[in-house]
Formats: sequence, structure tokens, C-alpha cells
Amino acid sequence: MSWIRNLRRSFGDFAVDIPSWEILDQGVTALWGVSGSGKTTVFRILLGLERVDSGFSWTLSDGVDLAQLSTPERRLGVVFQTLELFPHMTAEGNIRFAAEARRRPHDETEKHLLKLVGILGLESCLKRKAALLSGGEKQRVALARALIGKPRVLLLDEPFSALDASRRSEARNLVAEVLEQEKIPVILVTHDREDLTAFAARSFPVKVSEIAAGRIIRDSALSG
Amino acid sequence: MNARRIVGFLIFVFLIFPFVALFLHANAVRFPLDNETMRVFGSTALQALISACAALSMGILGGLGLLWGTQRLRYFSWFEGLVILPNAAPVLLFLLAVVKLFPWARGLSGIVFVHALLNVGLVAVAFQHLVLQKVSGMAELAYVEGASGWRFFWQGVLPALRADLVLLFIFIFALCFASFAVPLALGGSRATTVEVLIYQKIRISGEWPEAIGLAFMQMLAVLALAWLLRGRGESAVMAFRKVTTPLLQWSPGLLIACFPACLLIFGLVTGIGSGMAQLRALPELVAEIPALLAGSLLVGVMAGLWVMILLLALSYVRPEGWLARFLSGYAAPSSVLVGFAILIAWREPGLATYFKIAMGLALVTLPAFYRYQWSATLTALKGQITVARTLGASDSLIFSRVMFPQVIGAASRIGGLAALWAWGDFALSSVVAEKSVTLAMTAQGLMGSYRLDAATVLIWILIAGGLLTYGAFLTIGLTIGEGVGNVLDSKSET
Repeated sequence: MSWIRNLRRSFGDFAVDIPSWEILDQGVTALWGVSGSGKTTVFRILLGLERVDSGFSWTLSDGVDLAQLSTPERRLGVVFQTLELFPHMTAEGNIRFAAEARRRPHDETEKHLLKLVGILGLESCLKRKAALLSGGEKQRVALARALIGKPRVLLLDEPFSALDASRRSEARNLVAEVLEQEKIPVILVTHDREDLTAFAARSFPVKVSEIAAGRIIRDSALSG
Repeated sequence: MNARRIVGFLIFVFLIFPFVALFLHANAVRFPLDNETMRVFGSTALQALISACAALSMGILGGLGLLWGTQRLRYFSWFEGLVILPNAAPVLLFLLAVVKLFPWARGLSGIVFVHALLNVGLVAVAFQHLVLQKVSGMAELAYVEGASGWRFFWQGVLPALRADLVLLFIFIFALCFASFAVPLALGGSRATTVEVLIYQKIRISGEWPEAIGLAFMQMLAVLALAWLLRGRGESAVMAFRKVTTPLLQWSPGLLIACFPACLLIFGLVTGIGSGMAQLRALPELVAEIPALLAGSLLVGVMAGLWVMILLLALSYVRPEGWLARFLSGYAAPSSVLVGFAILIAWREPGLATYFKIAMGLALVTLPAFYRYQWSATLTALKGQITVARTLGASDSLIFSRVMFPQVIGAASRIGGLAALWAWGDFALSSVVAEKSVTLAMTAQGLMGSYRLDAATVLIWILIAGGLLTYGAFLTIGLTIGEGVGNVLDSKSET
């Protein structure tokens, strides 16, 4: 298990205060809550993009404290709600950028890329500029980009909200499939209950932490 | 200290260099609080106040005309470009046109006249955009409810846009308050504005301590105005749609909006024939034209490159914290100050003069380019940068792969604009250079001796050269952008 402790940040009349939070080493730890509950703040703190009050630690099972590392050193994969693909690069360029950023060996990158392209069905759009991809394609490219660097943890921020309803369930299944194969711990931030139920019937464990007013008020395991 | 911080610090040092140079040069700073100084400060503020009031009221009427045009004119964006032309073109062009058509426009009244007309188009376009962004829904509702146009204008539009209009007023006031080129060309021998007084203190009487004191006083006033402008006018954008009601449309306003641009064009197309004749009577001047042309080209290209390189450096730096606050609040020192600071620090004559003028122009224009264009360009890429950082990319990788391909086009466009303005600069050039070294300086000299038509011919050469340089910058930007894109694509295929 990995543990997050003393995640605290105050904004005057609103504060995020999580004394301790257990993150699954395998499977999905979901942070679920309504808008304004503090999900995004937690997400940004975990990425190292937001200042945090002293005492914060994020200790992985191998003893590494990610809180002591800078954002690039944490080796995280991320998919933002807005996806933030690099529009001037092709889909393939976007994915390879992450491998290059992590200085992954060429052979490993080639193998991994091939695998991800297969699972995510990216063959037809690989050579297209990101700006010309459809919403679903962009989402899959963003996921492949997040995974190719072999992250310690994958963080997903409302990853399906940019898709229309008909595409959403397809995308959830696809992500679940990838997670089954990649076996990377995932922190999923969402306000949508359906994002959680889509993962329930899978082979990996799912834990739901409910956040309200900046505090985790309930932890529960989700099963199909 | 990492490379990003070092580059950021160097840009900071570059920007504050004029103040440092002047401060080190003057053994003492003296704040002249005599009657003459107070008179000049008073007249500067008065001309800026009247100019801003006139520009704002005419501009609002012009804006109502543009709102009429949004639905009726087919190529409206071109038309908008025409309206803003006096503001976008080098100020020398407008000055020449006004002096030709209104010979009485000299002295303080001439300065007010030019400042007001120069900014009418800018206000008109800004007002039109404000209405479309913020009150178009309200306008439709008022129309359905049966309100009259004037009632809605006074009771709906003006209160709703009050904060934005105050901001626009302060902006125009600040432009007129710190203007140097117009008072220098029209002000006559007696100092009419603070800028000209500083110029005279240094150039004529050599009173450096007083000049620096004056410069600090003026800088404080400009900084106060910049502070008032900070972070305002960002009230919620309701919607951006074309106003479909006739409530906020006034066709005669279109004539007001277009008047300055028409004046500019008319002033520049008349008198070319007699200008040629005048020039033929000045064979020494004609013989100098190739050298002047080369000088203008050199200044234009170098100023464009300076600005372009500095903007690219800023995108590498990605200003945050104190540097971001400094850049968004920093008001560039006046052309006079920059010019003299460069003269003090670097007395080398000859070819270096062109380099110094270009550097000075970059110093004067960079803060405005950053505040009004570049910071938004960088902000738009913030999400991508965050992802790249999270994915572990180094600063150099982020710059070369994410930023550069996306900003090079905008950087070269702004660089081209800086080059175009540099072609038309005579104010800073006249401080730095001992004699006329560019077409713009010579044209201004001809204006001063009332050979207006001869100046017009030189201005046309200058316009052609400036536009060609602008085009070259755009082409280079596009080519590099495409080239980098292709390299990245081929890299991702291997």
C-alpha cells in the first residue's frame, strides 16, 4: 500500500484537509465528490502543481516519498479533463514525446508503443495531427501518452467528461482494459458515479474515497 | 540557478538597463519643481485628458457605426483593419497626413488633434468588441421589451460597460501622456510635454540630473496609470455574437470610425507628383536615398529580430512569480530616456548606431508586446506545459518541442510588426543618431521644413520597405514553423 499523509491546503474560507489516505498499489483508487469538494486541488497537489502546507508525504510501498520530489521526478502519468494534446504534433508524436521526456530506451518504446496502439485502436490516426483528431481519438492518444513513460502512478482527472454520452461508456471500457493489462496504480478523480461502476466488474480492485468540503468522509471498496 | 532563471534575470536586466545607465551617469538626481516644470506637467496632463476624452467620445460613436457594419459589410474584418490603421501604422505616416491636410495643426492644439484622431479607430473597435462580448444579450432583450436606442445606450450600455470604458480612457490617457513622437514633431521650440522637456534638458542644456529627476517623475505617473490598468476590465464575458437588434447601431458612426483612416490614406496619396518635383530640386538628398533605405532596412530587420528573440527567450523562461509580476506591471521608459541611456552606455558611432536604435526600439516596445499579446500566448499553452512537465520533460525539451513550434509564428508576426514600426521611427532615432540615418528621420526633417510632398514620396518608399520586411518576417516564421513541424513528424516516424 502507499500512503498520502497530511495533505493540507487552506484557501481562506475553504481548506483541503486529508490527514491520511491509502492508495491501492494495484487497481483504481477513485476520489469521488461533487463540484467544489476539493478534488481538483488534491489532484494538482499530487502532481506537485500546487503548494501544500508542511508535513505532506506520499510514500509508495517501495519507500519512495513522492512529496519530496519535483513534478518531473515523481514519474507520474496524467490525463487531464482537457487532455492537452500538443496540437502541432501528430498522435504518434504526442505519444513519443512522453517516452523521450522519460528517456526510455528506444527498443522498449517501440514495443510498448505497438502494444498501446493495438489495445487502444490507434492505428488509423497515428499519423494525423492532434488538432484533427476526434474527441474519442484524442482521449485515447492522451491515455497512451500518459502510459508510455511507464509511470509509477497514473492520474486521471475526469477523463471521460469531454466525450459525449454515447462515446463515454465505450471509452470507460477501453480504459479499464488498458489498466488491466498495464497494471499501474491509478488515481481517478471524478464526479460521475458511472465512471466508477464501469470499473467494478474488472479483475483489479477499486476503492472509492468520497470527498466533501475538502475532507475524505468515506472509503469503500467497489465490487461488481 | 537553472538556465531558465538566468535567462529570465538577463531579460530583467535588459529591461531596466536604461534606468541603471542614467542613474549611474548622473552624479545626482534633481527633481525640478519650478514653475516651468509644473507648467509642462500641467499641459501634458491637459493634452492627454482632452485627447482621451475626444478619442473616447468619437470612438464610441464610431463603435456604434461598426456595430451597424458588422451585419451589413461583407468583408468586415478587412474594414476593421482599415479603421485601426492609423494606430497600427508608424505614427509618422499619420503625422504627415494631418500636417498636409490641416496646416494649422501645430503646437498644443495640434498635438491634441493628432492624439485624438489617432485613437478614434482603436476606441471604436474596442467598444464594438465590448458590446458584442458583454451586452449583446441585453440588447436583444431591451429590443424585445421595446426600449429605445438612446434609453438603452444611457441606461444599459454605459452603466454595464462603465468599468471597461474607464479602463479604455486611462489607456488612451497614458498613451497620450507618454507620447514623444507627436509632441516632438508638432510641439515647436517651446517644450509642450514632459517628454520633450526631458529631451531638451539633455540635448540642449545638458542638465542631466534634472532630466533624470523629470524622467523619474514621469515614470511614476505612468506607473500609477499602469497600476490602475492592472487586472481590470476582466468582467465576465457573456457571449460573443453579432447584435441582431437595431438598438446599438448608428450608421453615421461608420463615417466617424473611418475618418482618421481616410485622412491618412488621402494625405498620403496626394502630392506625390509635386513631391517628385521637390525631390528633383534636392539632388544631394536623392543621392542619399539608397543609403537611407539601407539604414531603415537595417534598423527594421534588427528591431524585428531583437523583439522576436526576446519573445522566444520569454517563452523559454515562462515567466512566473516576481518576473511575471514585473513584466505585467512594468511601463517601458520613454523613448528619450532609452535613447540617452544607450548613448551613455555605448558611444560607438558608425554601423553600431543602427544596432543601438534597433535595441532601443525593442526596449520601448517589448513590455507592451508582452503585456498585450505574449502573456496571453504563453497562458494559452499553460495546460500543455503542465502535462509536459508532469511527463518529465526538461525545460529545453518543453521549449524545443512544445513551445517553439507553436509560438514561432506569433513571434515572427510580432517581430514583423516591430520591424514595420522601426521603419517609421524618427523619435528614438533622432536621440541616438547625430544625423539622419533613416528614411523616417529624413522625412521628418522635410516635414519640419514644410517640404511635405517630398516627405510623402519618402514615406511611400518607407511603407513599401516596411511592408516587405513585415512580409519577410511572416514568411520566415511560417517556413520555420512548417520546417520544425516536418522535422518533428519525421522524428516521430523513426
